[in-house]
Parts: sequence; structure tokens; C-alpha cells
Amino acid sequence: MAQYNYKRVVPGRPPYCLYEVDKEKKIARITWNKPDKLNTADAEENMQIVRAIQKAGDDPDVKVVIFKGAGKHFSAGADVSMIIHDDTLRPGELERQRSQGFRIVELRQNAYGRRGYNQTMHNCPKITIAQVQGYCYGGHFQLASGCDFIVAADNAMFTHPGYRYIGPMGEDMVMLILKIGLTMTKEIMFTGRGLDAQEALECGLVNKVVPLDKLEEETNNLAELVALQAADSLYIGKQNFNIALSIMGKQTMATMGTNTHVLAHMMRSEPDEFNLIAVGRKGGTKAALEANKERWRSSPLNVRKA
Amino acid sequence: MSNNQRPSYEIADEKFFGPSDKPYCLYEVDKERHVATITFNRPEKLNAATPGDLMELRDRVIDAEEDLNVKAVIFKGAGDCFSTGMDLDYIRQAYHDKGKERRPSQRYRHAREEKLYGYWGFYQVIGTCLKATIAQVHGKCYGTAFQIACLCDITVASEDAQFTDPTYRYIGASPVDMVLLFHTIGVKRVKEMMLTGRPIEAREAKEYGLVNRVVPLNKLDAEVARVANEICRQPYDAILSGKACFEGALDICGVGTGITAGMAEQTWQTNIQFQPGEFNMLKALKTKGVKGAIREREDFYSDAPLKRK
Repeated sequence: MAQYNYKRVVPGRPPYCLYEVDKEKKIARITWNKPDKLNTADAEENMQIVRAIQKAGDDPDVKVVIFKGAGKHFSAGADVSMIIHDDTLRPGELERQRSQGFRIVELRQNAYGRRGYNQTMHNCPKITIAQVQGYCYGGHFQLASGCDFIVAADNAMFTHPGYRYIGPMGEDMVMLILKIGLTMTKEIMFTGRGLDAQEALECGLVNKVVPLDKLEEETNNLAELVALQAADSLYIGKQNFNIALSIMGKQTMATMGTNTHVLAHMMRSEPDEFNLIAVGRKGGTKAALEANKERWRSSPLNVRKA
Repeated sequence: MSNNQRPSYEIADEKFFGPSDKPYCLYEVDKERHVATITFNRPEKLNAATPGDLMELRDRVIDAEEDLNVKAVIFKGAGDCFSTGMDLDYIRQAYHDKGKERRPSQRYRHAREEKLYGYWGFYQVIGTCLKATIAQVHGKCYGTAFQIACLCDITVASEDAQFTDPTYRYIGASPVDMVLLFHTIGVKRVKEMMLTGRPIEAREAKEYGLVNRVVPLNKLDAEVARVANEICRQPYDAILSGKACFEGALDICGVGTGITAGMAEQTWQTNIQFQPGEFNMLKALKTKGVKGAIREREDFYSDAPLKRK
């Protein structure tokens, strides 16, 4: 019988999220802990993200949560091999491709529905700060833009390259349009090009850009300033923002976007287009990533700007 | 059956949200018929539930949602009724914690609401369940149980069923999900029900649109089984993607927003102050215990009793 990817616990794998709390300063830090893979996360690790955010949400010693990536990058987003496996038959498991009913349960539970990591982040009752260096792409771009603040190092690169892989993500359209405007949201989505830190600052995605070696310090300063406010104030205030965003359509789009996300998984690539699933199934994840890089060589995601 | 994949709730009042000594739900899956049945199994307490019991209910609903054999979920109550809602003993403890000198913070009050009504709470997990949900209601169906009956895709009631959300008679909190209630039974009827606290009879509930059909008590099981079988011969994909589309449409109608706002409003309402001459449920619970408080409430509202034969 088919098994949901988010239930595939890999024995012995280090935890994806490291959780630490400074009780004195009321600040929690959640670190994506997979630096050798650019902090990409698979479906089971998405569930770990949900639990880590909820842990901070429930922790009475926490007013502010800082999200950061171990190593050189915040995160390159979803694990591409997971995306290929999502739609690939495994021996002895399924005779046919996964059904729509299977896919919607899978996507809602671990990523984008009410119980997914994305909505859990939006709904976190504590004040959230993404501390971003290097790549901030895909699902983790959604996680970062779902935070209350983003502090970026000068080497940070942001985008959602969903269309370049398996088609559009819709869950956060309202959130992104509100945050950075319709013009920029469409440009990012339709081109999939990366924004550097300065451009991200100019379009309102990022609160502050600082030199890489000051990133930790500047993020801590911001967190400590927020943590001076009364806990009840911050909590009630965050609810007000959540209600406002919901009235503006964020909640509704998250639900509709999860449905259209399943639709995107059904996309058909034409013969002259890049086909992640076909290339990945045949040649493996690396080959798929190489082919993707080749198609978009005029607008690369893996080059760090000065 | 506990699933370590699911987030746990490590909030301060674990004693309320932790599991009870005895499971609240009986959970059965009929693989042939593709039907899961969840039976509220605390008949000695009229199936009143603690928050921990509702967390357990949530887990069983997720089990059913994830089970590829299941297309429909039936909710029913063991014993004399569907359920009278939230366990009053919880209300008593929640507001009179002897160890604490100060009143609970607002964030702590909201956290309780959020655990029950937020995205991971029993309420939205049932409301957005991708399997068809059927409430099989007999006898009393009050408070949180009334909300479950309203949430389910289809509600079948026996002639003796009685529905209401009597929270104004307790601590004044409004239903978190007012928007769904408005769409289901209409603004005027919701307002009347809340402002008077009067129970609605099965036939009236049918007329309101809260109940799909009313049958004699001895025909209730058979009627629910018939509806479930009718649903379950439809394709799995059609039911699940259809339910996902209902969720989207209801969000466009404002349900998700209503719940987000409703949790904050209910939090605010927990700060209620009683005036002289009013029935003070919290004080009655503190001084007279659950049974004494119910007796006092029934005396106070004797012309519109909740507890009647």
C-alpha cells in the first residue's frame, strides 16, 4: 500500500530542526540542520518544521523566534529528490500513479494546507524572524516570507523557482502580493529569477540588509528589542495581524492554493520543455538539477552575486 | 494508535490537554464498506469531553483521513445522547486553579482556544476532513457537540434530538465559527439560539437546515448506514477532491477568517464579570461542584431547561 512521504521516518537521521531557548531574553532559535544538502527538507522534515514551530509557539519562555540555516545558506527549499519521488512509482508499492485523493492528503498534511508548515508558520503566535544568508528559495522562501521579519545578509538570494520545476505554488499568492506587490510577485513567479538582498530590500520583502559577519548580531538586536514588549501585547497584536491577513484573503488563498498545487503536480511538459519528473526518474536527481540549470543558464539561481 | 508524526502540545496546562485515563473514542473501520465510525464513549458523563478527549478525537479523525480504505466517517454517542459538550469539570478547573494567584494571561487563554479551534484543533480537523463526515445525533447535542453536528457534511437526527450552544448560560463565549452557523441556519436563528440559549428540537432543526433528516430513534443506525453506503460507492478521488473544494468555497464565504477572529473574541469573552442577580456559573461550579451548579442553572433557567426528559 502506498505510504505518505511525510510518514517516512529515516532511522538515524539527525534532527532537521535544532531548538534552543534563551530563557533570560525570551528568544528561541530554530536552526535548519542539514547544511550538507543546503538545508533542503523532505516531507518528513517538513513535519519536523511544524513541530518545531509549535514547540516555540507553546513555550512560555519564548516571545520571539529566530529561524536560521546551518552552514552557508538559509535553505534551497524542498528536496528535489522528494519531488521526483512524489510522482514516481516505487517497486512493490503502487501499480499506478498516486491518486488525487492521496496527493491532497499528502500536500495538506505536510506542507501547505491548514496543518502544513507554511500555515503553521503564518499562525505562530510568537514574533518570528528569518535570519537569511545565501539561498532562500522555494518552500523556505515561503517560510521566510511568512515570518514577521526578514533580516538578510548581503549575500542573500531570494526566489520561488516553482515554475521551473513542477509548476506554480499558489498558497502564498495573497501574502506575497500584500508584501511585495503584484508587479514583483508576478515577475518572480513567471521568471523564477533570483532577487539579491538589495532588491529584496527595495521591494519590501526584507526589513534590513547587513554584512554577513554582522547577521547574527543584528538579528539578535532586533529580537531583543521586540522582546522588551509585554508578552500579552505581542500575542494579541499578532492575532490582530492574522485576522487582518485572513480578511484580506490569505487564509482563503492558502486553501485554494493547496488545491491548485495538486493540480500543478498534474502538469504535462511538452517535448521541448524541461521535465523534472522524466529526467529525474531516468537519470536521478543530479541529472535533473543539471538539466534545469542548463535550461535557465541565462538566469541562474546558483550564482552568488557580489 | 498514537502517532509520533503529529505535533504534540507542550502547553502549560497539560493536565487539561493530555490524554484521559480511559479513551474517549471507540474507533472502528469497516474496510468492506469504507466507513470509519467514531463513538464518543463516556456515557456516564453524557459523553461530555475534556480538551484532552477532543485532542484524542482529532487524532482519530486524522487516522480516518489518512486511511486509504476510508471514504466516510460517522460520529455518534454511546448511551443516552450524542454529547452534552465540554466537560464542566474542566471549566471549573480552568478558571479556578488553586495554585495560581493571578488571573490567567490573555495569551494563555487564547492558547487554550487555539489548541481546540486552530488549524490543529479538533474543530478544524473535523471541519476540513477530506472524507465525508456524518453526525448521527440522538438525545442532547450541546456546545462543542452541537458545533460538531453543524460541521459535519450530513447530520441525521432521531426524533428525540435537541440542539443548542448554551454558552451564554455559562461564561458568555460565542461559537468560534459563527460564519458557518450563519450559512447553515441563518443569522436570525443563530442570534435567537445564542441570546436565549433555548434548545432546538429535531423537527425544528430540520426546518432550520441544521439537520438533513429526522428518523425514529430505532431507525437511526439504519438510516445513517444507508447514507454512508450511498456516499461510499462514489469514487475516492471525487470525494476527497470534492471535500477540498468545499473547504475552499467555505473559506471564500469567510469561514477560516471567522474562526481566526472567533478565537480572539472568545478569548476576550473569557474575562466575563457577573452582575448581582445573574447566574454565575463559575461561582456555582466553585462552591457547589458540577452537579450542584447544573441544578442551580436549571432552577435559574427553569422556563427553558437544557436538562429535560
